[in-house]
Formats: sequence, C-alpha cells, structure tokens
Amino acid sequence: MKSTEFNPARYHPDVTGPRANEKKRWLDDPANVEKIVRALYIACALTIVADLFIHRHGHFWFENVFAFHAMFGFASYVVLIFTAKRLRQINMRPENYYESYKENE
Amino acid sequence: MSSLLNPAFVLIAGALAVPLLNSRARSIFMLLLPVVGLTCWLAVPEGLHGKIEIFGLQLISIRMDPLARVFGIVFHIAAFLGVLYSLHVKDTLQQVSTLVYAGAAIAALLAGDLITLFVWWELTAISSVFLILARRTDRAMAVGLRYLIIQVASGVILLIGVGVRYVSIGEIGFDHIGLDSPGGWIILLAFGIKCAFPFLHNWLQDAYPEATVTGTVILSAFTTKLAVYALARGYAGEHILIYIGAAMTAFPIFFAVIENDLRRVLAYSLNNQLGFMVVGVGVGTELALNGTAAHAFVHIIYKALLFMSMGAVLFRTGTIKASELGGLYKSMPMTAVFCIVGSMSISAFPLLSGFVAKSLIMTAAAEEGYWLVSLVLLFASAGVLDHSGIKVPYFSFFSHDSGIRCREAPWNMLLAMGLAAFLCILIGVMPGLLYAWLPFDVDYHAYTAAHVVTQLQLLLFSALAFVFLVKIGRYPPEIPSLNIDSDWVYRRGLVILYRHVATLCSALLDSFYRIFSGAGQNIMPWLSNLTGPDGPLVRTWRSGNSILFVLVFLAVVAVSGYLSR
Repeated sequence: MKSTEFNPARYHPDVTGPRANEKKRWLDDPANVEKIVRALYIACALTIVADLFIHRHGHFWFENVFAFHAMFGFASYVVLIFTAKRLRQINMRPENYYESYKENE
Repeated sequence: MSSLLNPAFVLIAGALAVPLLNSRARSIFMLLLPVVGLTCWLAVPEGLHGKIEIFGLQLISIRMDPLARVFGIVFHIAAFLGVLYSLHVKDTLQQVSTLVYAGAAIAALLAGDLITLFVWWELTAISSVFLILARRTDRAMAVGLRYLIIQVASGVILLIGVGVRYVSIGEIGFDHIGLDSPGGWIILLAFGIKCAFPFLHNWLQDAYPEATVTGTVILSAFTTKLAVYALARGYAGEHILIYIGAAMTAFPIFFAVIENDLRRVLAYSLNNQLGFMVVGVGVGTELALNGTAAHAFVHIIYKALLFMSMGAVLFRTGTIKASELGGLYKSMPMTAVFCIVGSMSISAFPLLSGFVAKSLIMTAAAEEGYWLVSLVLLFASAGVLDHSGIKVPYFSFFSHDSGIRCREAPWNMLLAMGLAAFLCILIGVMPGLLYAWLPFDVDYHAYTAAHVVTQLQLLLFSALAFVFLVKIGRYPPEIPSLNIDSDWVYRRGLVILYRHVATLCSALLDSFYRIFSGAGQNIMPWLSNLTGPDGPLVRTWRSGNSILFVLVFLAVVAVSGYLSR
C-alpha cells in the first residue's frame, strides 16, 4: 500500500520531502489527468474508425475480424491482471522471507 | 586463412590497463575502448581467421559472418552506453569487470568451435559476477555466489556436451548442432540455462536486480543475448524452441505484474523478450532469424535504457520499490522522458524500435502457420505494455506523489539515456539502417497501414483496460513483498531438505555413539593390548612366518579361483 506519510528514513540521505511553497504542476490537477484519459478514448476510437479503411491481410481468419486486435488487447490485459492477482494469493511472501529463515536457526 | 588480432582483445587488454590510469584519463580511455573495438570489429573480413592447434584439436578463434557481425555491433554499443552510464563510479573492480565481461562476450561471438566458445562462455560468467558482488552487501554476496554456480554450471554442461560430440563424431565446430546429433540435448541445456528457459530462468530475476546501479545495465546486455546468438547458430529451426519461446513470452509477465522491485519487473520483462527471440530461432526461416537478430539488437538498447532509468531512480532515491516511489517526474523530468521512450519502444509503438523488430518474428511465426503461438505472442505483447510500458514509468514517475524530492540524474547518466533513447527513435523511424546489417536480405515493410492500425489497436485498448481497471479499483496495488518463483527450490526447498537430512544424520550418529560408548569401555583395553607395545600386531615376526602367511594367502586365492570356474 502507498503510505501517505513521507518518511525520509527510507530513502537516500539527499532526498528531501516536498517544500512548503511548491508550485502546483499541471498533472496535480485531476481534471488534467482526466483530459489525458479522454485523449486515450479518442485515440482508441480513431483506431476503430481507421479499421474501416484498411485492408487487413492477416495469415489467420481471426486476424481479419473487424477490430480483432482491439478486443484481443483489452481482453488479454484484463485476463492477465486477474490471473496475476490470483498468482499473488499463492506465491506472495513477506520481503524478508528468505533471510528470516536463516535467522530462525 | 590469415591471422589477425581478435577485436575483442581491445576491450580485454584495455581493461587490464585501466587500473594504471588516473581518473580523468581513465574515463576518456574507457569511453574510447568500445569505439576502437567497434572500428576493429567492422574491419574484420568475413571468413575464418586465427586457427590454432592444441592437443590435435583445430580451434578457430575468429570466424566472422553476418550473424556474428550484427550481434557484435550492438554489443559494442551496449559496452559504450554502459561505460558512459557508469562514468561517475570510481570503483576499479567494476570498471575492469565491465570491460572484460563485454570483451569476453564479443570474443564468444567470434568462436568458430565449441571449445573456444566454452572458454569465453566461462569468462563471461566469472567476469560478470563482480558486477553483483561490487554492491558489497551480504545479500549481494549470497546472490553472486548463486549466480556464479549456475553460470559456471552452464559452462561445465556445455563442455560435457562438447566432449560427447567429440568422442562420438570427432566434431567440435560451432555450426548447426541440432537435437538429433550426439550431445545436442546437453548443449541445448547449457544454452538454455543462459537463455533463461522456463524453470532454468530464475538466476536472472534473482541476480540482476541485486547488482549495482550500473552493473545491472551492463549485465542486461550480454549473457542472455550471447545465449540467443548461440541458439540461433546451433539450433535454428528446432521446433521445440517455438514452444519453449512462447512459454517464455507468456509466463514471466504474470510475475512482472505483481513484482514490487521495479528492476526485478524489468528482469521478468527481459525474460519475456528473450522468448520472442527464441521463437524466432525455433521458426528458423530467414525472416525469423532476421527477426531474432533485429530484436536482440533493439532489445539490448531499450532494455539498457529502461535499466538505466530505474538505476538512476535507485541512485538518487535509494529505493526501487514501487510501493515507495511515485511522482518522481517532478524531480527527474528528463529521466522520466527517457524512460517513457524506452517503455514505448519495448511495447512496440510505431515509430519506435521495438515495432520494426518484433513484427519480423511475429510475421515469420504466422507465415509458418503457428496460429496458437501467434495468439500467445499477441497476448504477451499486451502484457509487455502492462509491466514495461505502463507499470515501470507509472509507479516511479507518476502515480501518487510519494513526496520524494531529489536531484536529477548525473549528466553522464542522462547522456547515456539520451543516446539510447535517440537510437530507439532512429531505428524506429529508419528501420533500413538496422535491416542492412541483418544476416539475410530483408524484404519486409513494417509500416503498412494494416500493421500500424492493428498494433495501435492492441496497445491502446490494452492501455484502455489499464485505465478501466484503475477506475474500478481492481488494478493490483503495489505491496512490499516478495514473490516466490522456481528459485524457491534451491533457496528454500534444498535448505529444508538439508535440515531434515542433517537432523536424521545426527540422530543416527547419536545412537551410534550410545551403542558403542558402552561397548567401547570393553573394547578399548582389548584394542590397546592388541596394538600397543608388545601387542601381537606390533611384534616383529620372523620372516618364515611371513612366507607362510603369503603361501596360505596364495593358496586361498588359487583354490577360490579354481572353484569359481
């Protein structure tokens, strides 16, 4: 989990925390992040529109299905993330897992 | 057949001169070495040179051909980037081992026979371990030893395979080996260890993230790509490699998604990228082998770029855990930009280097009709976008602001990253520059409308899935943790087994003592009588008795020999 408190002890000695009067960055505004997300939506839509104008010349039948790569990309990503979360249930251990075993002697 | 100086000796001999120079001259000298080395490399004419005869074996220390040439070029580029990136490091140990390691890998490319390959193969192992040990922590020491054992074992297995080959067919040439020939499987195992085949892979994820900031950048370039080169030479067209490669592209990405150490994420990603190259070797057509060489070339550069950017983060902040980072674009904007270029290159966005290389392999696999493998490669491509394309830059430079404020990376790191990023874009925009060096003639056009659109669909909709999962709160959070992988077998499993065996042995020993300590009280005086002064065994016997003893002994032998007929 992200800890909300800044703890300098965790980092390199030269690292400082945020200054008091730091100027606000463009990305600090959630509205601007939303703009980027909206740009992604538009870009996605454009690739679908472009699909109408290209001649797909795939080697397999599924490669010639309209918007196949879009659907496959989205589905792959979701499957990947959910499977990986399952994997975590099996193989996640504390950070000192290997070291702690030696100390328990 | 002429004899000429091995161009790899520029780096290796140069490394030995490094300790003699003071810091300023040393920096310039070290930067010049890969440049001079590359010039020599390009000057070597194709063909066999440097024949040596040892113990009746014909060794060929230099065999230059197009496949070796293209790998050698990128090895020199990687050596230059690595030296530039680590210019601020004042550790002679690391400087020397960097140059020797790069030189050994380059020399191995030139090996015309398997014995010469073995020598350089082992030198890459021995020289590279210092890049891990140089971190000088207990953990690095343990990791370094594990790494060394596995790397050296790979060389020993190679030597066994070569021995089997030599004894059965008297052949030690480093040409196509194939699985049907004697020793073929053994040598494949040796190559497979260095190439991080599934279940032989974990040394990579174990060791690379524990090396020094600069060491990881250098390690990432050579060992595994040398193995890819060896596979391409020895096992092109072996179909089993297609399936091994496909498995390699797919399974590391699951681990990459949940890994917290961002340099380890990149190590898993490196494993995934090797998978694409192995598929190319397995398909084995000219297009596929061109793809393997091209992908190795661009991969070395963008993977080094990614490791450099994460190295810079570690160098400045002292941590590389995703759970402790975020918002670093405010402090390290240039590093962030370079990292994004590397991320987009590895994800194969059009106009960047990954796009023009990976598609050669994917097209080759599709042309040979491997539909399932093609789907796995597409799946893996979407996966690359997650862990290398989004996760690495997102959790370090963006995400939630961790509050870290630090300085931008040092100038030499920025320069090295900038140069690598430039090469990623240059090759992406002008793929002909790379295609000209590939082993076979290239008749391939990456920038067709269909290819650009379908690739953008794949990547942008994967990114859309990321946004979707973050918005509904289902994207896995970064947790300070460790994920066990196949290294559990030897890091924990063997330890547990050892403990059990040790407990059992000591119990046995205890009961042994208990039985004999009682008996010992009676036996000891008897033994001391027997062997002590004036004991029957110590007494001087007459020679007649000895002759009698020998006679009896011989008689027993003769009779038993007669009876056993």
